[in-house]
Amino acid sequence: MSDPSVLVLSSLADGDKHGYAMMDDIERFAGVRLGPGTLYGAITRLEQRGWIIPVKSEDRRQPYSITPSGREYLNEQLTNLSRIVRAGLRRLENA
Amino acid sequence: MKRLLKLLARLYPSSWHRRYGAEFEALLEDSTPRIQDLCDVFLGALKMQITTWNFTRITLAACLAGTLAAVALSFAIPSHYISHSLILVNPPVAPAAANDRGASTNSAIRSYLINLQPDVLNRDSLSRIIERLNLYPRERANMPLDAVVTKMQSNIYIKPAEGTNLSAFIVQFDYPDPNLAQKVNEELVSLFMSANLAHAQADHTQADPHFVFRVMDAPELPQKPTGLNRIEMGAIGLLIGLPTGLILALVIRLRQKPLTVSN
Repeated sequence: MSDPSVLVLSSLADGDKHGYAMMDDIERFAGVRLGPGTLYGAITRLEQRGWIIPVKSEDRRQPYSITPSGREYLNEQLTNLSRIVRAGLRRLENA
Repeated sequence: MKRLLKLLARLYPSSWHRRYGAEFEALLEDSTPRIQDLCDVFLGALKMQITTWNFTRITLAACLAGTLAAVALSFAIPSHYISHSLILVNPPVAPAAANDRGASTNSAIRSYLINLQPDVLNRDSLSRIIERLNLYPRERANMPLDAVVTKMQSNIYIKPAEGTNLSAFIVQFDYPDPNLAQKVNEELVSLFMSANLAHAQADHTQADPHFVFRVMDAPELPQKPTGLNRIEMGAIGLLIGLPTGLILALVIRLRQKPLTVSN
């Protein structure tokens, strides 16, 4: 599971973060280090789709927040993923 | 490394740079750069550039990329040359056995050649040619000799001369070096002549008719490489790039539409 958009949304699910904080967080919880280009590609797409929004900040480090539609999308993606994981594990146990 | 990454970040479209440039630079300053980040930022900039291009620009870029890739490929593929020779077959009639089956002259020659080929294109004779002329040096370094012989056999073409009034057959050899292609063809013709003589002597004892071979066109030194030239390859690349560009442009246009979340 290495879809950068889902990783970014998962990172923002527990609070606002700026780019470097997201990169660090994703590396800790998913074991995946997103490169700067990949991370900002995902941030750009997610903002265009209205799933994240920039939070007011005086710092150059721009924090982002997940929107309700972003939470809905993330929930849908993780539910699908969870179903696949459960099915896969069940089949492995039965094999 | 950070300076290099910042330079690469300038490849992003100016509109993107205005919106995200400052925070992207802050991220580059905060993070510990890795060598793969150079590629990541470059590809990120390229993808972002493409998303700002219009339909025509994407199509043209794909055409150009396809053409350049095909021309580059044409430089990477080694040229190869085919040496030809023509051997006349006398008498221009098929052996009794072949005529009995109602076969044409060409099919009679073909079946006669098939009988003769094991004496000519066998492992021993071809491996002697390979070693004497130092053919396939790279393959010999990496493959067993039998595999090299098989490769050589696949580069030899023996076929009746069709579309002429002559009873003849063609010997061709395909090789990256024109001089060696000619030399090998000479060896092959010589082998065919010897094998035919030996076959005739053997047949004579059984009172069967046989063919007499005469070299009509000696193995030639090929002047031009065979296959597609760079212009033709470039044209193919252009033809592949055009539909690819159209598909790419359509995909990008569709992906740019905001996605809806199902309820």
